Amino acid sequence: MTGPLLALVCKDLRLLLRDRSAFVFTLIFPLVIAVLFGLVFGRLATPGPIAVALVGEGSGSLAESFIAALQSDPALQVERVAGREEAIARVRSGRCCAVVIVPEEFDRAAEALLTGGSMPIEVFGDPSRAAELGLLQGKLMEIGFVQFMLSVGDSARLQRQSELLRALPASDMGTSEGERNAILDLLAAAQRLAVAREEKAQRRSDKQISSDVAGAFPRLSAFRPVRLTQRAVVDDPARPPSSFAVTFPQGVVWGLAGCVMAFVTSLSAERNRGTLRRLCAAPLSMHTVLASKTLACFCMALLMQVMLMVLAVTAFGVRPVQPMLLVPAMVAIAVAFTMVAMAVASLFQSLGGSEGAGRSVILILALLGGGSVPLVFMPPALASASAVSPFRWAIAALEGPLWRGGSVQSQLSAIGAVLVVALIAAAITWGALSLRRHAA
Amino acid sequence: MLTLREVSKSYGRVRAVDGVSLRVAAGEVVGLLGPNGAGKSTTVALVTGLMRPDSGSVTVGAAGDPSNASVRRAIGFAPQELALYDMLTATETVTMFARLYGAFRSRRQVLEALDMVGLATRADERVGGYSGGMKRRLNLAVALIHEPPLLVLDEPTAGVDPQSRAHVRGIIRSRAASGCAVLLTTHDMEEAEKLSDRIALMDHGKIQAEGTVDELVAIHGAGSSRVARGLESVLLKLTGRELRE
Repeated sequence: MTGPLLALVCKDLRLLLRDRSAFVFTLIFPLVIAVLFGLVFGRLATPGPIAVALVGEGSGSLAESFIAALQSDPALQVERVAGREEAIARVRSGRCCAVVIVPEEFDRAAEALLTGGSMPIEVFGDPSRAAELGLLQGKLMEIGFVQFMLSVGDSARLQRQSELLRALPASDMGTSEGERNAILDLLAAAQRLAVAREEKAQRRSDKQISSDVAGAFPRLSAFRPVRLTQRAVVDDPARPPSSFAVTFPQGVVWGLAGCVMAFVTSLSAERNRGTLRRLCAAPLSMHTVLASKTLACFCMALLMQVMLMVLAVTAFGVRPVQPMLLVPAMVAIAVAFTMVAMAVASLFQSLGGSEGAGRSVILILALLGGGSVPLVFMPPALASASAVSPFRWAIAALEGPLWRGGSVQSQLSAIGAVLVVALIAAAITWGALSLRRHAA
Repeated sequence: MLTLREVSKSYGRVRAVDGVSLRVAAGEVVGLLGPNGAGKSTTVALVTGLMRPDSGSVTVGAAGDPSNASVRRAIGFAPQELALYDMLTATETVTMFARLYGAFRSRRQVLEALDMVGLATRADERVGGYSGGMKRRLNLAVALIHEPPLLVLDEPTAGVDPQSRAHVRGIIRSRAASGCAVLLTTHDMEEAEKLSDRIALMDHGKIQAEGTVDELVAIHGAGSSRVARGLESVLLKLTGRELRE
């Protein structure tokens, strides 16, 4: 019986590999998805500098200092343009995410920081790039804070602040006369400290000292109130997972969908063309014919997974954290989706039904199971709903050994979930075929 | 080689085959004729083991019931529809079907089989590129590759050009001459007359008349001098002129 079985399996694999659309959907499309999503997610995970158009209307020293700080920030890619219209046009064309305008009155307002003034900055942003705008806002606040710290370390600026404060009645400041005098004393003390530091630096004739370091408080420009350390949650922090470790399981989802659809449509096409009738007239049982189809589907599902994983490792730098567990995971997934294919084939027997309804069902389940949007990015309700999709469990079984890590027991649980999918699909097949037999 | 005894088969309330008895001896070609819906296709399905009779028996050679897979090894079946895989080559198609019948054929043997149906020169081309006549000839080659003692041919020359038709008929005659029993269904009266040793006229699931062409014309004919026309008139006389679905 193995001779005829193998002959049929070879025939099915030949047909699948020669059918351009089936070949593309089973082997090429998953690879394209994995690579494309990997590149996109990789870019999102390590974003480049935010492109900003800068209009410097203010020409004072404070405005220039602020602009210089903006231009030197590695998180920003600042392009200085002449006018507002030109800058806004760059945002409209998508070349920049926002326009930052340092207005003419910047210096005047910034010098009155201690008397109720603030640094005026205007931002015109692209509303579709809210995340980048949020980052830009944070950056502007940070640079503004550093500029403030610089101003309190510069004796000349402190002198101007003191003069402004003296000229202002206490009632306008919202303080008592005593409180205002205390602030003036504080400013005078800070000013003396700044002068002393500047004279000391002058004596050393230290040409290397920059303007901010020459102030009363050295390294003010490097001052950060919060120092953030960010790490990826992986077993080996020195080797964070590449985005391809996340997207290749997604590619597998589409490959599995392709396998299922190829199997279902090939069975329907055999019924439609009369070749199934011819096969049944040969000295074979119907079970042999179905076994050959399922074996071909299993081989294709396994081959597709192996191909994607080999490419992920050799060409895209994916390093499985538990490579030995990948093998049982891939075998279990191939078994489960062969059963899923049988279930779909038993539910939709006509060629139109399998190509229409069957394809729609598989497509929805693939999308729901994380085929296009990774589960981690799904809203909670959708992520919960994805539990009904067999593709979700396939992704979970692959992600563990690929990059999530965890105990062997947890990996085996994920593989067990995939096998439960196989059992459910087998039960659906059995139920559908029993109903049809009963109806016949 | 093939014996049907009082075979009946129903689909729900419709009795497609009703007590049919028929015998095809080795080296004999029996033509099964009848209008659409007469029960020919169901009879073919019963003979090839695709269906089981509700009552009666179908026996192939000494082996027995064709619903047993091993018995079907003795049957070569060319269905009416061109049941072939467009993406396979003729060589791959014939080799695969030979294996399904437990007959492992070398490439030389496969090419000989294709040569017999006039396809050796295009043996490695995909079937999808073949004309209707070429597909029909390949359909026959597939039925013949394991050299079965019983051939069941369901309209083997439907929709092909005269050249292919003549070629296919020649093959059928040569197989019968070498001792193969042939059950042939056709709507082509000329073909039935030229190929069949005996004719079974079927309608409403029953064999209405059986015998050689001469016998049928003599008993049921309308006195026509031309045999083929006579066979057609016999058929129309026995089955009526009412259009069938």
